[in-house]
Amino acid sequence: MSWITPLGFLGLLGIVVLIIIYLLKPNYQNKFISSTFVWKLSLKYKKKRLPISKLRNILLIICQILIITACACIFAQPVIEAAKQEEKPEKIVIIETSANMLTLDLETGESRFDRAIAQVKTLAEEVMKEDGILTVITAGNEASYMVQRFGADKKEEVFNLLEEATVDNYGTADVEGAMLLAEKVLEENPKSEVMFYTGTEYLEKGTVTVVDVAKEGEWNAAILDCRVSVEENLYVFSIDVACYNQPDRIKVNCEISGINGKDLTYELYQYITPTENLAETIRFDANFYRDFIDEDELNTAWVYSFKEVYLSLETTETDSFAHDNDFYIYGGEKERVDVQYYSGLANPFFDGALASVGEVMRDRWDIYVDTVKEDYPDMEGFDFYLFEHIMPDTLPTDGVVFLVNPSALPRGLDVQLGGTLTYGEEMSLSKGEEHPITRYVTAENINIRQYTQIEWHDDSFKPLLYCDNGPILLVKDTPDSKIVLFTGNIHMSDLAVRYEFPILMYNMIEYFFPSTLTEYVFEVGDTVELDARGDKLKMKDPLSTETVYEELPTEVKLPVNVKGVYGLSQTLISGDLVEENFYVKIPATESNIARVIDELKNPYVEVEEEDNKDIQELLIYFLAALVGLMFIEWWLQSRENM
Amino acid sequence: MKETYLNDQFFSRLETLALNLRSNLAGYFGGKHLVNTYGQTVEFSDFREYQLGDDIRRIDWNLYSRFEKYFLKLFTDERQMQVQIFLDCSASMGKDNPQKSAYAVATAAALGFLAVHNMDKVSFHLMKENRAENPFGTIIGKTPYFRAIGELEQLEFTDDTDIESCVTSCPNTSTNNGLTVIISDFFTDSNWKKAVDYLCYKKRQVLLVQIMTPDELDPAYDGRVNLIDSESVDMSDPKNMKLRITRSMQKAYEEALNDFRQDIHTFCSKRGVDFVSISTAMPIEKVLFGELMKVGIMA
Repeated sequence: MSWITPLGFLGLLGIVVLIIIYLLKPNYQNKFISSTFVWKLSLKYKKKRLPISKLRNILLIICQILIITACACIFAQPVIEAAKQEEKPEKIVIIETSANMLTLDLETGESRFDRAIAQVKTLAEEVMKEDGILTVITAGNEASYMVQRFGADKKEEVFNLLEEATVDNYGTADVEGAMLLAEKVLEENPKSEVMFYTGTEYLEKGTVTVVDVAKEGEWNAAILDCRVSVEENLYVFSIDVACYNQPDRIKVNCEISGINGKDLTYELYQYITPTENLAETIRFDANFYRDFIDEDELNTAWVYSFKEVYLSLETTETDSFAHDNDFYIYGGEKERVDVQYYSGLANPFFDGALASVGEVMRDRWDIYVDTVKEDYPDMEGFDFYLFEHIMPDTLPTDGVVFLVNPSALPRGLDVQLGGTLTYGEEMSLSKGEEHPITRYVTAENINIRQYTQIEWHDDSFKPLLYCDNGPILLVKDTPDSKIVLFTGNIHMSDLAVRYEFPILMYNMIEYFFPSTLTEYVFEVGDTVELDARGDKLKMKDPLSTETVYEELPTEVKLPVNVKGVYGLSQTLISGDLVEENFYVKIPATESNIARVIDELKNPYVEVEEEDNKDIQELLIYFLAALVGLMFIEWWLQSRENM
Repeated sequence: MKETYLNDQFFSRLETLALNLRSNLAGYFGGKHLVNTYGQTVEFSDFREYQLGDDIRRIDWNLYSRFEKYFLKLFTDERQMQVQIFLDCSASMGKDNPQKSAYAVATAAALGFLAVHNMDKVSFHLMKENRAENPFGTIIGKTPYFRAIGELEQLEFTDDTDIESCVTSCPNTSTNNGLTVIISDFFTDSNWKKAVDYLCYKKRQVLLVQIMTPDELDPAYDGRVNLIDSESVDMSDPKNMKLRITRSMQKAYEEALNDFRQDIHTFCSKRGVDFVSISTAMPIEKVLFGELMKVGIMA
């Protein structure tokens, strides 16, 4: 038999305390009486009644000593060691597969990840040799098991998987997720050792064994980020650069191509020696341009648009992490939307509304409006056709068509008009989910005194607005036909002077001409939201994998996990091909190969409470027991004296 | 300061009382106690037939006229008794408790007063160790009595007493001529019963007066006490005892005391001995006019 907590025997000190209590009890007090004759007689009586009474005090102290001894033994936790089932050693290995694990040893060409794999192989060899169990978790963009509780019988499989392992993640590591997976294994065997192979330094490691796979001499020069702004009609680039583990004089190249829609390229550069492990910003602004470009040339070619900007670093020595040495910037060109407005009774309302919308959307679109009053309208070459009163015989097919208060409908339009009504009592929106075109439009605000009834329309038309329970605004959005029909008379209505009118125009442009991208630079691991004007959107990722999205203009949410330039292309209704690019960069945190994190989140392991009992807790128990004994002693005494 | 109950008021109350002794006692001539024998008093007692040698002056001629026989008229006799008072002078009677000793002395004095008041002889026997001293001799009349009482009040109560030896070794315990009173707490290992038997053998009327203090009747102390007997020589004396007095112990004491008193009472009843157990908490008048009258020793 052995004792789990031998400190529990400190409780035997209670016996000493008990004896002291007995010693401290009040001594016999002298009492002078005339005779003890009757007392002596009474002893006989007492003896006759309770023969055990003399032993009672002794029994009491014996019982108390036995209780204290029993308590001490309980606290000491006696155990009889049975034949132990030999426990197999179990290791849980977490390998970080974030971008910084690609940091190379320039002498050997070995990456951090390679070193981690090599060390894990050695560990696996040792574990398997002892008939142990191994779990390998990769902490990439999402944590996952490579092998889960594999024993020696699957040794070959483990080594094959380790051999095939690569870093396919240019983003951050989901360490927290990996620890949660480790927790599941720990639930099976809480005695498993968790080992974390990483290049990041953790100040508080907890119970996890952190294996540092970083190597001395690694350093990194990085472009962390770039911000684009327009100052003095000129694109200005603010670039964050940093050097980790080693300062160096860096040459930052900035190649701006496709300037102002021409085949013009500026090649600029700057030198900077950033403070070690601190990000610094350099700017390519107007003054800087002048240092490189002739003043006359610059005056005629201010950079107000560009097709692509390529940023790159040049260092005196090759750095260990090359994935953040270049950077691409897109989104320097705005697209043009050509609008034709044709009306028999031309009014300034549409011009005004389109001008307002153009102003609001000027960062994204250049909207040009061509108003045709008496001449014949063009039937092709525009993105947006607006016909009022007088309709063409046939509809244009290369753009969006907006028909307002038609006197007669063009051929081929599956709508049948009725008579003209000169009152409109009640306007209402279509029921159900709100359509993007009528978003923020309050139908009740609009008063229409003259409109043409729509007697019938094809199912491809969707009614958006009703007047006196009859449809007044229809929309058709098919891959080859995008039509909006409004049968109300603008002149006999207050719609044109209400804010609903420009909102309606804005919604139409927004709906039919959505931006493909909202940003042009993302980090690995971000989700890119895509939209398209055409019926198809092709995307080509940096690995040249092409994906076609056909369910458009459905919004696409695409997680990007590969660093590099992504190409997007779409064919518009007019047949024009629109190509756009965006860049996915390494997260700035991954560029910091000398990263230090305060605390490593450990997997939660339920610990048996008994193991953590310390002396203080034992003392509290003993104290309570002694107080209890004293109370019992006092109680018994007082009971006897009653 | 010694307590005393003996004052004029005390004695003046006693003047109304008298000892009621048994009539079969012989006694001496000259007393006031009526006895069974016929004497020369004026109180008629009985008639009997004339016998040869009788004084013819006592013949009742009235009866002769009726029965034509000679009858003598008999009269009761009055005798003087001898009252012996044995007073326990051990330490338990008052070394540590002057009230108890004063009470004992007062009881003895009261009984003595009743004796001398009724023309009886009285003697105070002070029991010390194993002998009884009679420092005042036989007292007749109040003058020597009060002299003796004055000295009794100065009495020292020390050592222990062997009642049996004291009584049996007393040289002048006459036979059938009076009352013997033993005043003690009877808290003694000596066989006092033999002393009583001896007195009964001597045909004396016996009265045992047991005097106890309230503390002895109902001990008010408890806990762990070292009980030191007043008769003990030193702390190691076996009379002393260490005791943890609990409630049950107090009950045992009460029971033991009751049994002890009952034992005395039974013993006395069997032998026609009067027994009175009194507490010093009781007023002495109540003892004299109550307890002693109850047992019939006073009238």
